[in-house]
Amino acid sequence: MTVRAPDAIDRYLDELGGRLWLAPTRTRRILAEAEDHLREAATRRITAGDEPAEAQRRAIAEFGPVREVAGRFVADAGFPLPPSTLRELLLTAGVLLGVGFVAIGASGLLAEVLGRAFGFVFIGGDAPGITYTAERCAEFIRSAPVGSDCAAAAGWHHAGEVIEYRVAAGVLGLLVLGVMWLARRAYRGGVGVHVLPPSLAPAVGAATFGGAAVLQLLPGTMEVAFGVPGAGALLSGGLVSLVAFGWYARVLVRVLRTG
Amino acid sequence: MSDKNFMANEVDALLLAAVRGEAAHGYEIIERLRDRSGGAFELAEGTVYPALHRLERGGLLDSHWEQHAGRKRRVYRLNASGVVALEAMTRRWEQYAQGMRAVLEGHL
Repeated sequence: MTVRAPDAIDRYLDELGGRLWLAPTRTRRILAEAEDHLREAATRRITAGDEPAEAQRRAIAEFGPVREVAGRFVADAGFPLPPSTLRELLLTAGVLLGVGFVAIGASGLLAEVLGRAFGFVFIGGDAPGITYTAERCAEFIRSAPVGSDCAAAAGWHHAGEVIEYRVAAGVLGLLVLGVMWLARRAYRGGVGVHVLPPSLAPAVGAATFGGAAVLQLLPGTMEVAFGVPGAGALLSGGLVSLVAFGWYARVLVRVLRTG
Repeated sequence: MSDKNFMANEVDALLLAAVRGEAAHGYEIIERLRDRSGGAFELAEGTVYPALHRLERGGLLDSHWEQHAGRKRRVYRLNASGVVALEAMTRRWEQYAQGMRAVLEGHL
C-alpha cells in the first residue's frame, strides 16, 4: 500500500483541526466536510485545466483563511469551550499547579542542603541593618542550636520557616498530582484522548518556570555576589525552576518536532 | 455583487432555499446559490458550513453521510420545519423588498 504525501489540502485541514477547540465528534465532522469540499473544488478546477497545485491553492483560497473559518465554527458553538475541552483544560492546569507546588517543595529540600553546606544564614538570614528586640533575640537563641549569635539564630529560625513551608507546599503538590492522576484516569477511562494541543502544557510550563528562574536567579546571584544573607532562598528556588524549565522546554521541543 | 459579507442576515434563507426540493452537499449548495443568482451570491465558502450546522441544530435541516469518491460527504435536505421557516422568511423578504421598492420609486 502506498502512502500519499501530505498536500496543501492536508496541511490546511491540519491547521484547521488545530484551531477547532470543539468536541471531538464535531471537529471530525467539520474536517470531513471541509476535506470533501476542498477536494471536490480542486478536482473541478483540474478538470477545467488548472495544474493540481494551483487547483488546490485556489480551492483553499476560496474556502477562506483558517483563522476565519475556525473562528466562525467556534463562535457558532455558543459556549467557548465544550465540556471535554474544559475538563482537559482543568486537568492540565491542575497538573501544572501540582508540578509547581512539587517544585516549591524541591526548592525547600535544596535550601536545606544549601543551609547545611553554607550555614542557615545563607538561606534565612535577614538583610544587613535589621535589628531585633532583646526578647525576640532571646527567643531565636532559645530555639536555635547555633550559640549566642542573634543574627545566626534568626537566620536559622527563618531558614526553618522557609524550608518547612516549602516542603509543605511540595507535599500539597504531590496530593494535587495524585488527585489529578485519579481524575485523568476516571475521565479518560483508560483511553488517551487529547482535545488540547499537546504543546500547551509544556509551553505554559516552560514559560512559567523560565520566568520564575530568571526572577529568582538574577537577584539571587547579585545577593551572593554582594554577600547578602538569605541569598540561598532565592538561589534554591531559581535552580529548581531552571531544572523544571529545562524539562518542560525539552518536552516542548520534542512535541513540536513530532508535530 | 460578489461581496462576501453580502446580506449576512439573509444567508439562512438562501441556504434553506438552495436545498428546497432537492438535497445537496455543501459544495453543491454554494454552486446552486451562485448559479441561481447569476453569480450575484458568492458566499465565503468556508463560512457556509457553520451556517448549515446552525440551521440543522435549529431543526430546519436534516443531514446524513454519503460516500463519494472514497470520501464521506454530508448531504443536507430541508425538513418540514425548514419549509415553514423558509415560507416565513420569504414573506418577510417580500414585505421588505416591497417596502424598499415603494420608497425607491417614490410611491409610499
